[in-house]
Amino acid sequence: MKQRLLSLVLTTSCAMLSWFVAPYALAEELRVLVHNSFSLPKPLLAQFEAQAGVKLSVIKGGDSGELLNKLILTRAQPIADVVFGIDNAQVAKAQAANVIEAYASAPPVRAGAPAVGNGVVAVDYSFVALNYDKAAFAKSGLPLPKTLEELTQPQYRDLLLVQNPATSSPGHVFLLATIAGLGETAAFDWWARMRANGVKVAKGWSEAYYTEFSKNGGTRPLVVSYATSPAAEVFYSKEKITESPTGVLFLKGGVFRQVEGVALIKGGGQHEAAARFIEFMRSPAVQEALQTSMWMFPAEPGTARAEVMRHAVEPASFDSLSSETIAEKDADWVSRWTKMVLK
Amino acid sequence: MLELKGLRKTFHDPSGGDWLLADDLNLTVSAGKTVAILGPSGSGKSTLLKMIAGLEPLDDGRVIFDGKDIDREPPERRGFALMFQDFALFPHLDVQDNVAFGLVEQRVARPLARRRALDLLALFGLSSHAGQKVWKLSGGEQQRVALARALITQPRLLLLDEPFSALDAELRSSLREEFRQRITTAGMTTLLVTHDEVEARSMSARGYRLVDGKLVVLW
Amino acid sequence: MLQKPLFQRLAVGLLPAGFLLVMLAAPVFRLLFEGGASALAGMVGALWQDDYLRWRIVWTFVQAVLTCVVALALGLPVAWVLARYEFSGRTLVLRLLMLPFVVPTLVAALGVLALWGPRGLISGWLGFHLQDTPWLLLYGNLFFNLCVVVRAGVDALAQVSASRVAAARTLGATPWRAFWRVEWPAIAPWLASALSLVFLYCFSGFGLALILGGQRFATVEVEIYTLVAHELKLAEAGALALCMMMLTGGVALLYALVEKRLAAPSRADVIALRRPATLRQGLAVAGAMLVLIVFCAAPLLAIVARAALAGPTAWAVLLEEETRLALGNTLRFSMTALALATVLGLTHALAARHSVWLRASAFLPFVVSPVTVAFGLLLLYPQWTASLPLLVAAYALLAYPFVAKSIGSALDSLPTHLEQAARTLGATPWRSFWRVTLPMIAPALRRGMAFAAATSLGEFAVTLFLSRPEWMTLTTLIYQRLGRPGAANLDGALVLACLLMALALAAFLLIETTQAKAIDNRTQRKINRKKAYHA
Repeated sequence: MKQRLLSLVLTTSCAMLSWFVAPYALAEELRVLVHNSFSLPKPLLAQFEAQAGVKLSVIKGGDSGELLNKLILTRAQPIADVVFGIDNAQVAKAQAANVIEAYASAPPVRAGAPAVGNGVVAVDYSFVALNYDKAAFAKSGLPLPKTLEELTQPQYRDLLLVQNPATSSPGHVFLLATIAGLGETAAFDWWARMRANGVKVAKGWSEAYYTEFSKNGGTRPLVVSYATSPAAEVFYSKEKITESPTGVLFLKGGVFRQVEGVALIKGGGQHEAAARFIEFMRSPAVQEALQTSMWMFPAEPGTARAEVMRHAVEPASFDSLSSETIAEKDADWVSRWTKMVLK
Repeated sequence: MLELKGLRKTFHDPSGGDWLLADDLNLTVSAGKTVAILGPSGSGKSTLLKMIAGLEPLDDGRVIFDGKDIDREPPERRGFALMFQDFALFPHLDVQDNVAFGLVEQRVARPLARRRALDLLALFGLSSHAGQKVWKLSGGEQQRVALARALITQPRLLLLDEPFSALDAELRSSLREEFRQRITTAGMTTLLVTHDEVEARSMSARGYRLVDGKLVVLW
Repeated sequence: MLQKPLFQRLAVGLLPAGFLLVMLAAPVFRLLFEGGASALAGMVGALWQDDYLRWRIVWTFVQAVLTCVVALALGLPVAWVLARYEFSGRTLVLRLLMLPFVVPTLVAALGVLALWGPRGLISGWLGFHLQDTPWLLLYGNLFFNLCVVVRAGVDALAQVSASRVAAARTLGATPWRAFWRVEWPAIAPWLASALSLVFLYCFSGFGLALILGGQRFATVEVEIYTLVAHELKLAEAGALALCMMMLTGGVALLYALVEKRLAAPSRADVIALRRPATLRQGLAVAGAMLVLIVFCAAPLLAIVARAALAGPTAWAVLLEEETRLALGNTLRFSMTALALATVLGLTHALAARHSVWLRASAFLPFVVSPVTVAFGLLLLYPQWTASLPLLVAAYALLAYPFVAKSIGSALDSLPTHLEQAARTLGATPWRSFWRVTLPMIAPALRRGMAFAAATSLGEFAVTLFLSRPEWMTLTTLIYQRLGRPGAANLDGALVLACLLMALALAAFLLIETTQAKAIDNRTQRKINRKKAYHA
């Protein structure tokens, strides 16, 4: 009896094994590498598959920094044909590693309009800036800081929460924002004083925003997040609310415009379908949908704004760095930051 | 008739030093006869039986049965039965299935094999234990089950390795007599190894002693 | 000449050996030499010069040693109580000690956070939490490893010869002295073996350290992950991985050596259990149970409690399509991986009987971290990165050592002459394996499969790298939920953790049935007794 049971288990196991290891038929497939925040309504993607006549295989490659690293690691034999999620802070690194193939029919870039550059077609953008918990500030009676400098003062001790630039893309661009806004020397001086004033470092944006931010049960009322986050708070709120429980502070040296784009991967296949995917990402349907699925502003001018996006403001001005400067100094800045703030 | 010709075997001791277990060893066991080989523990008697059964490779020499060279045959094709010193009963099977084991290997259907095992067990006075797990039996009972298991396929040669050493003195002598009768009745060609000369003399017509890899005639 | 030549006996080992080569050795070498061999050599020296990395290495070592020390200090008394006293529920406790082995890392980490995290049950009471302190990781380590030490201790103490202890007592030793002079030397090898396992788990741990370590108290494995995934410093990552492998390899070798010594025949005269008679003995039993509850049961209870309190909206997550998809994937991947792991484990164990090297290689998947393997695979087989066979093979790689180890020790204790007896009764080698060996090792096979199933169900590290969205498993879904807005998602994650835990438990109970185990134990004891008698 026992023996029969055992043989049954073994035969079924072997049968299942052969079923799975047997090569499965590959349909005409477009492999799209995306970052973890990629999200679009399923009907939209299905519609694209039907129109382009390919099966979409969406591969999530981690946060946008990890995504690019994966591309670089596997450039000998790319894991995908087209990539979404390369931003203006990383595009030079991607260029240097030679993993992007310029898209020939890229639209012309207008002055001042969000762009990524180097053959990457802009899809959406947002601003990384400080978010604050309205209730916490109302309760403590503390005035909102008007400059980054004020945050180094004792009354703002143990309030700010940032992400590690080495492991988080908003954390990374926030470091770039301080350098762009204050200048390299002053920026690192500011970080040194912030360390003394109790800045807290989280590994990634999710940990920071959803566990350490006071709005979500943590202890810190100031967090590095996006200009669009307050709109998301309204959208996901359990009760119906007319005003966001969080707000955004656009301080000098604390704002960075992050523009994300889609690009062809060098050595990838399916060029025609990949080009169609790039156009698809720029299409009005996607540009409208991404606002409430990825919480970004649409890069295509003239796209209708989602109703809830009125809770997301854009800053009047912001500083930026050229992608060449970033490419040249970024690694040094990040390791200097790690030594200064973490060690 | 079993013949061993020029058997040679060196035993490799893992703790260093090789020693000669069989050195140009010759032996004949005539059909239907019982032959005993005496020797102290550790003299290599058990290994000799395993070489005959095909469980242990030879360095040199020939094993011949009824005129046929069999030293390339695997153990299951030799049709010999080896009764192990501690019986080697299968703990996951009951008494009846233990006895029926060899018949099932000869492609006898299991229900029929079990019935024939039961018949043999009855002959051995063990029918009441047929459904029991083997480790619930006493030493003497386990011994009888092991013999029944060895005899059921009517092997061409019975190899007994210290068959009574695991039993107490009283049981040993009564069981020895019983075994002698059963083996004689079955007309079995038998090779017995033991360290007990009384046992050897009472069971076998010829006796040898294994000394330095050679056999010396005792009686 | 009937004994087959060595290469023929090892033929069965070609499958696992080839698998290890393709899935483990090649990817690891690929990662190690990504930065160039000469750069690697220079890097190893430079690691120690870097304050930050030196702190990481030192802390990783310290937390592993600390866990060993605390686990021994708490585990040995608990083991002694369980091995010497008879009390109601004792058998149940012994069985429950298996539980942490089948709990997925992610679930355990959630449980620890649910107790001690910023919004944890105990933190709420006490008014402070343990986030960003080393205690969170140490507590998580103890959750998994206290049971390892206790189980090893109970097994070891059960082997202690009653007559030797009695002899020591009649020669004038107090119970305390008798323990140190007779019992301790007898159980020390067992404990050494358990502690080296504990050290290995903690030293090369990834999941717990990733979630509980925070920025400051993460381990080297997390650092390797960060270096490769976020900073693309492959040379440094390779050098770190090399250091780790040399250290873990050394400990694993030590473990293999100690374990070989444990194959000594067991004695028949076991010390009888007695009921606690005095108040002190009663307190000892109560204290032991308290330790187990605080360290092993509390995190699991916390998850269940938090999930139960979350209310129906949180439980509605079970009905979502996403959950159904993840559940389906988890079951599909785990079952396929289990089938593969069973075949690999069985062949590995059989071949390992004839080769010490192959035997030691069963430890390789334990020694080399999933992180290193996953990145190596990514570098070596980029075209297969998002392919199901590679994912399932990686699952099987991590799961099959459990099968191999379990069967290996069963084969060691299997008397060889049983198979020989079957051969003389007319069974071919294959038939005697099928009719004698396999049924006798079946309980061990089932137990190994149970562990392998639980491992696959909770697999996390590899899935993090090699997966694609439509292959979302329960673990990745939980991880994702942790990173989504609001308390509702945290509650959802807790509910999903309950589901995953129940699944692991069900798989375990399904495969390892109580009855089979009881029979196996009795048989084994009988065989041991007979061996002792003949010895």
